[in-house]
Amino acid sequence: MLYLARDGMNVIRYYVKHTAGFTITPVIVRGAGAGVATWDWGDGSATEVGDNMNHVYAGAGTYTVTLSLVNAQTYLTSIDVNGDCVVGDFLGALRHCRALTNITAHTNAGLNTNCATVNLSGWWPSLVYFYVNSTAVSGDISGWVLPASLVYFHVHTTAVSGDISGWVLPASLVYFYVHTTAVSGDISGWVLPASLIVFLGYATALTGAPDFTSAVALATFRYDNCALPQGDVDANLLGLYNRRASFTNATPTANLGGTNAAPSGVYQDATPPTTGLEYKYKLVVDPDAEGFNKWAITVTA
Amino acid sequence: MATLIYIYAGVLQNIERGPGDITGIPPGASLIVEAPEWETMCEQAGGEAALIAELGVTDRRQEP
Repeated sequence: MLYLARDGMNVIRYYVKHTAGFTITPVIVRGAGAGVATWDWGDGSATEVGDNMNHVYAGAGTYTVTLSLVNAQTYLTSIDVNGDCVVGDFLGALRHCRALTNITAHTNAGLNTNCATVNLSGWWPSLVYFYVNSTAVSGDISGWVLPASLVYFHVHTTAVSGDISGWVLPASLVYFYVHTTAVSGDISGWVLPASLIVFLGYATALTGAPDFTSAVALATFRYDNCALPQGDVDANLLGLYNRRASFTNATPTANLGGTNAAPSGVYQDATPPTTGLEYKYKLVVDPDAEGFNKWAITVTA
Repeated sequence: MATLIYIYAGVLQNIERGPGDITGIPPGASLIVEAPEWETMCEQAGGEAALIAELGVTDRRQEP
């Protein structure tokens, strides 16, 4: 559906589509260097030049947007296709833009990239921010290697799949969000990096408990509505409990509820704590007055 | 899915919970309300911004 021009890497073409007149507001950021970004909106209107655009389509239909840049593979560092009008293999269209640091494609139900064909770190070795929200993006992402530069990773409501237990979270990662039911794998081998503030593994088929040893900045740990068995829920609570003195956020929260199993045991006056509910209780209440930052924790009843 | 809103350590936060979940909030929390109650409080205060100002808390509900 979406294709690159045969004449090289300076032209990016993608489709936009809507059933009624609509507006698109693409934003790009170019790196250093001369040159201009020229937009052909595909509707017969005059081409326009600029990096922060707003184009109104008078009628419904599917249009091909053609973005021409000087040395796109070098100069294009950020692209945001804000809106719900983009259709086709948008990620594939950007595969030659090696300097991209920011990719944002949100609320675009028509995106249909097969992620199995995407070489995340190979195509965009300097990637910092990656956000894709679409129900039609699909494919096995088990082979993805997250670029070492990655800070923000967000994949939401997509049909992607695969066992991602072999992923390594980059040392610079601050925000990690995967919300897609078909992604699976035991993440017990994952080490949450020291920079990580938000971990959201919501409604996935992930299991296991990551290593919290380095995750001193963790403020939001959401691992709910998955299929965690009781032992995994306990293990996550134990992981937080064991590192309780190291977390620096004053008001951290964890959610291990929903479709996960309930943690085990009781919490009254056991020393040392041995079961999941004890860990939860002690993290919330700090009955021994150890002085660590208390957690707000949700678990399945 | 319901949203619980609470204030702890001078910070306004929220946490999502589903049917059957139990949520432990640190005992020093000064306010714990469900989202509909919060909306009512906002209306009575003249808007959410007014309520937050009145409470004198830092709103971190939208922060990652």
